[in-house]
Amino acid sequence: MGCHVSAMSSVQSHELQRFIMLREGIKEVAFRAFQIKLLALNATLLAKRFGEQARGFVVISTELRDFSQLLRTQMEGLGENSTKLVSLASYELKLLRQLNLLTRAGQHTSHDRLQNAQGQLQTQHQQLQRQMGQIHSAMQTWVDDAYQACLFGTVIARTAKIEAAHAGPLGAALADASNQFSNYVEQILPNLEQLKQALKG
Amino acid sequence: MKKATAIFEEGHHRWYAIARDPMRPSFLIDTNEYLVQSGHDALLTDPGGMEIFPTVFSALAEVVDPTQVRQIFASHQDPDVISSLALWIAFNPNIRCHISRLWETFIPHFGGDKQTLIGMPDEGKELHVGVAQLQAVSAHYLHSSGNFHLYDPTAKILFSGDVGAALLPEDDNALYVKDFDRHIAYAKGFHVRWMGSNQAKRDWCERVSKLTIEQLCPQHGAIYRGADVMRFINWFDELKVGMA
Repeated sequence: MGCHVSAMSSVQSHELQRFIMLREGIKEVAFRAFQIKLLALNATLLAKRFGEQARGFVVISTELRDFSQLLRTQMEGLGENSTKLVSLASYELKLLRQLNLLTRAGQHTSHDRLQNAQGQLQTQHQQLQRQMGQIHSAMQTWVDDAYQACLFGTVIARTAKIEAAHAGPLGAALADASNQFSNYVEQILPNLEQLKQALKG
Repeated sequence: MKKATAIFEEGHHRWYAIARDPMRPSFLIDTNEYLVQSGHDALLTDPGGMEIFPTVFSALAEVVDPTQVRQIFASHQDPDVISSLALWIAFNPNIRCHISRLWETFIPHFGGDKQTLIGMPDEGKELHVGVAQLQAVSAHYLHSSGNFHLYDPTAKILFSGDVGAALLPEDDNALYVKDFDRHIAYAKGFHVRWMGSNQAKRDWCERVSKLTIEQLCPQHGAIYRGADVMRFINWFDELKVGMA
């Protein structure tokens, strides 16, 4: 039992490291989402400035704004959940350390209170694992949704490029914005793919 | 939950204060942890007790990747300073903990081994975090017999462990000292009782008053900054300590 708890503790420290990597990955995507938000604002201004001559782009900029808001909401959801997960996983590490010490004590002496204490900690641990499992599942949903949204983002990027090409002499500014947007979405997709894989692990 | 607040930032060199936990149960003394970051390398001062590990860890993870924390600086051996060591080692077995050589064999009762613990000589030593050079400043008998503070000449910050500590009322959550005279009333009893040597105190005041310090960061209570730093050193110099 002592070896079992100790091994669990080691597994949990690796789990905490994994959650930290996830958290760092989410921070990166959140940063890109923030850049997209700024770009969406810029695109709206450009579309307004060029008026009739960039009518198609007005539609695109609205889509872009909606997309950036959706992505931001998704990243906020992911961020909140990953914060909770890190917090619970670090608490779990503490719990397992205590359980490990009690279990080791129990190897040398048998006492009802010791066993009760072990039992209580084990119950707490099970509850904690359930909670973490729920958060983990919620995060998988958020990442899947964000991934789908980004796939749609690639379509917006492509359409934006076409619209920019039809905007005549004003096209250069719109093309710049479209290319930038396309780059951001292309950067986010592999990050989200990594997050999806990491959450499966 | 605790919150990490940047108290110094210059390029890739930062100090964060991890302080003020409104959820903290009242039977636990409130502590401040400080994170020094230079590039992708970080050091944590007095990481706190085992009970608060989850809240310190989570607050820290909000601002840096915790795998960057490769060093711990423990001002002394108290449980509220370093009893979480075993958990930090569980997260990163390669973490190193700097502490007075006096405590090298005591601290493994909390966790760690010969590899983890790096004993500091009585005169102190230079520590490196990324490209930042920090100085462990001796503060023996203030209050522990093997006690160190940490000075960062670039940030002009002195982490002063228990020196400067104040036991503030529950509703006083300011990160910085606002009204020195009011604040120091909460520090007086602590210093009179916990600081053991007037001679050591005199020597410390003499040495640190020669350093350029813009922020004096204790392990409990609010941070002194600007003119309040020298105000505190002068106040401490005058105070008779080592009494019940």
